[in-house]
Amino acid sequence: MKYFDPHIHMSSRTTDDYINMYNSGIRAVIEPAFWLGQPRTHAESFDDYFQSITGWEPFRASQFGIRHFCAICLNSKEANNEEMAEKVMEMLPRYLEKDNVVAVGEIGYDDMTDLEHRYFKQQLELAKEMQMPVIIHTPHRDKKNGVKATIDLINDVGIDQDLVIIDHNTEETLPLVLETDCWAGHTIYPRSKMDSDRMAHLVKEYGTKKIIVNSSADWGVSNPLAVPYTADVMRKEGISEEDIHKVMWLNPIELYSKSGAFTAEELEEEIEFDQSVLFEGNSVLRGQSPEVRKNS
Amino acid sequence: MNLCKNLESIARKYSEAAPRNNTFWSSFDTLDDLSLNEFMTLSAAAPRRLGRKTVEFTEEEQNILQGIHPTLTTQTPGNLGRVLLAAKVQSPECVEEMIIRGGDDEQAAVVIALNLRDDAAVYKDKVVHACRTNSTIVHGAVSQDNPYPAKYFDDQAFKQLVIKTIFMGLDFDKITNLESRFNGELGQSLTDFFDERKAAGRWLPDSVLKFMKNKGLLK
Ligand SMILES: [Zn+2]
Repeated sequence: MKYFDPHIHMSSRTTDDYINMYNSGIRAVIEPAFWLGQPRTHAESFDDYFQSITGWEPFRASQFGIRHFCAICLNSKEANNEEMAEKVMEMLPRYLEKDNVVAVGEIGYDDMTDLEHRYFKQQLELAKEMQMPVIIHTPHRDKKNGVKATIDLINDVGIDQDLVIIDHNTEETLPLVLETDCWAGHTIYPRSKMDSDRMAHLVKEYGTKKIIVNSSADWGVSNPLAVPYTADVMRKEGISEEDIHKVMWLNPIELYSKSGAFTAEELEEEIEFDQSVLFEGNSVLRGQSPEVRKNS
Repeated sequence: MNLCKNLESIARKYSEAAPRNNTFWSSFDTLDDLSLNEFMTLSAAAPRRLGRKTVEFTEEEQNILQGIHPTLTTQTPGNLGRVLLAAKVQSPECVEEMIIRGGDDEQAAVVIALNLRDDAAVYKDKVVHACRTNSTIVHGAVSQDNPYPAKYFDDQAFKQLVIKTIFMGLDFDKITNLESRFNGELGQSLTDFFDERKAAGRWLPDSVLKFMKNKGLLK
């Protein structure tokens, strides 16, 4: 079965991860722009970061048979540096038009400061104006109130809720999101927030409509195979192949194809990749035996 | 600039089906009034506004595109639009920005478009810098079937281009006018590269070996 991991920070991951992901069935990923574990100190660092997730990273992923899309934004943590934030906001329109960009994100509240609120709102307005999907991160602390405030802001801005995904849900927050027309993202973490068993139970209880699962794997302890792993758990729990396919492939495609960056039809086709072409000493492969896959 | 005119009419024709093509062409018609940022936004947006899918060109159109660069015959209307932007914009600053900071397909478009510009020579250092990538999309656009490097690169940069083309697994035979730029130093680099590969139990592609043999570089 084919899987889509619609929230994973691949530029923090290794080529081994790409190989394992491919072998587990992952064929497409989305890398939301976020912080790098420590705050950046120059606005221009964002520029090179955006450049990297719209340029080098999709190229790198394609060498392993995986389609790489991304989302672009000023993240909430770094929104708290006003001088830098203003410069980053000016960069966004140019990057949002790039070929592999499918959304504004991940934006949202972190500490729920005034500056976070201002840039969160401005970026929701930008997404509304550009008719683009938007990925909303919900806070780790005080999550339920964070989700409520998020929904209030979405209503206030008046963006089409069908373009919005509210991410990192739990048993507590999912019912709130399902009352809206927004999509509901779930991140499977090795420890906190949500695990695969609980995810399977949520699908049993609430069905598959607008439900999305991701790994959010990054530079921290995380599992880039969380999506296929959770699919296996769901299978063991008796959830049908059809439902698994919907949650882990069709739903993210339905949401993110609204960006116009790809169509469902295009994603059904495997990418041709022939690592042996690059084998003789390329950047990505340095001497190991190549993986070859060509469409006949 | 006949090639530009022809390219423009092909891009216009195949973008007709794209719902937002007007938003591209209206900006294109006032191209030199755009700020640097607006220009780069337009370049980024070209595929979404003109079309992201490859199209079937007529034989005549294929010949025209072939005359600019062979890879254009398999390009999308969006990427043709990018070539056109880079060929037509007056401001060298816009061209430089696209070479250095465009996405892979934008960089590929601009290094092809340079051959349509009268001021092509002034971008040499920027093109050399763009080759410091490991993306085969960008390097391939410079090194494969592109007359630019042989015409403008200095010896050192040209030598780097040749060696890196082999290193990246791109097609050695597609380096335009290699013969005209061959010299002893390039020969030495090929020999060194060959020895290095041999020591690692690896080989060079046949096309390289054939070239080296013709030049008397293989003992
Ligand atoms: Zn994230």
